[in-house]
Amino acid sequence: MPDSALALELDRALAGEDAADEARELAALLVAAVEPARFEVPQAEVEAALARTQPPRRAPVRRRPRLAVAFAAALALAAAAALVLRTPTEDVEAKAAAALDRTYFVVEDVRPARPGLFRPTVVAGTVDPRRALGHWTASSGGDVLTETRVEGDRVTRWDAASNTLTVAESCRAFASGCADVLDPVELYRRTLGSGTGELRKVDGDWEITLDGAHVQQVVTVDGKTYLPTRIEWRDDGRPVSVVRIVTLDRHARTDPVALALQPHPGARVRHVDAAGKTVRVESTRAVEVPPGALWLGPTWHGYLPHAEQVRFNAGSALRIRYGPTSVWNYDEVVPPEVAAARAGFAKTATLRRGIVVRIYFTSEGAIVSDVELQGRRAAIVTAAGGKEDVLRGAEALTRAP
Amino acid sequence: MEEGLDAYRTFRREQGDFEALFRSHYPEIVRYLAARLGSREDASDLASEVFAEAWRRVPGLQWRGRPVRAWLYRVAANMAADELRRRRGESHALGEPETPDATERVADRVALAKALRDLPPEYQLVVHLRLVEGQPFADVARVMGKSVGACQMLLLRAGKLLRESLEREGVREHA
Repeated sequence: MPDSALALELDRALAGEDAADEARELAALLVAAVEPARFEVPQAEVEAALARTQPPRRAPVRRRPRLAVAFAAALALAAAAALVLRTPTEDVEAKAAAALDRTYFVVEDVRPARPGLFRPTVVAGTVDPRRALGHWTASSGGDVLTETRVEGDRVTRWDAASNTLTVAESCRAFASGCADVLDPVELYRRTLGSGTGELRKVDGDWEITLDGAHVQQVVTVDGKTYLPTRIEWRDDGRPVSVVRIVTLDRHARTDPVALALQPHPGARVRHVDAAGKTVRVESTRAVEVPPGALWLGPTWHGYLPHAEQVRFNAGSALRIRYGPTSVWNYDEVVPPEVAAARAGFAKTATLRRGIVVRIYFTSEGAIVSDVELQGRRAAIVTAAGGKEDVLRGAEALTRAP
Repeated sequence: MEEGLDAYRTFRREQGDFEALFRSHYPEIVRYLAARLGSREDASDLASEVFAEAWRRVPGLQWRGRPVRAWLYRVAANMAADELRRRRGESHALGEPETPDATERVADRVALAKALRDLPPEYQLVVHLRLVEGQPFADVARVMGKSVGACQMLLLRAGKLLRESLEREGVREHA
């Protein structure tokens, strides 16, 4: 086997997939070799090392007079601005926020402020702010680079370069932080009203400058519609990128399909908590089925329910087993087997009660249906039976007495 | 290497926030150095030196399409090489790391650890990033400044070199 093919086989073997004998042998050797280096460094040790490494902070230099002058100047400017601008910042920001307070479809052209900083990108997607849902793709030269779905704090992002699906409990789990995980318009919408805005009137439009933790946004807002037309991102006052809003359509209703992640068969799944650590099971404890939990009733296909509280390092979830079928009740953390399924092929079905179910077919042959019912999240996972069986299960979901 | 906006922004963010940089990467640099030096304690000491250097020099780095991590690993690799040279130069050369007993399995593990440390630094880095840190090849490639395919080939060669090294030592394959 040529080395190029063997290298790919080795990658498969390391991922635990079926691979050629030599690849499996090399994988076993490599894994054994690195075993001693797979240790955790306790947070206390990190903090102690940080305290030793970081030189002591310098005492603040006498800056009071200069600060006082600056403060007085800022006050004078603010007073002048208040006289010139009849509309206070808060009013414009409130109107700008109201303009985006319904489902919108957006297409943005993102370009570097200086050539060579990054590839020009097109971001397109749909955001439903009222339900805190969003889904968008970033493309360059016609190729999709990333696909992102946000559901409350939870972020699921597919990275084309590594064919990896990262399920994170917060956008803070990503190295680049929330500013780069969120769609630029959505980031702007979330920053509005944070009290960091400055306002300027420019040729009939508004220019709002918003200071965030890691990015400064200078946003041009249409003077009539209060919708954003251009966003400039700045770092330490230097422009980094310019986002031109190509399309911004608002809709009264949300199409569930527009908010769904595309299937990515074969994608590796990384499930990380809000701090970016891999989610893993810490303990499992048998419990009685708690009142109010979503279940399939006292029996399902002849199986009795066995409930267990599964504790992960990122939160806990309830699993109710009926033989080969499990019902997960979750909120804080998506159980890894459910998160992993989201990389697979998906179908959406609407049940009689108006419940929307997303069904995933995993590469291992299991079927997972993800349901939101009466404000609770549940997933049915079955290694036996077909799609109809899972749909019947989703229809049968009810609250335990 | 052309990179995405988020890579650039991560670079700038880490450049401006030493504490975040330290907390994010100190553990992995300790693990990397522990594998290179064969000593967890020495690794912690040297990692502190790597970050002391980072404190001085990272704010002045220019963006060249690679993350700050790549710079940290380069400095760590250089410092580890200096330390190993220093050890070789000492008259009371250090032996292999202490082992709790002399069973064949422990001997195999020691041989395996030594074989890993004897790999060329570039091979050690790809093994570390992919297998210890669990980074996808795309991220490994960013740190190493190579293509994904080149990194996959480096990992394969690392595995083959390990096997050859163990065979020369007469150690069974699955140590």
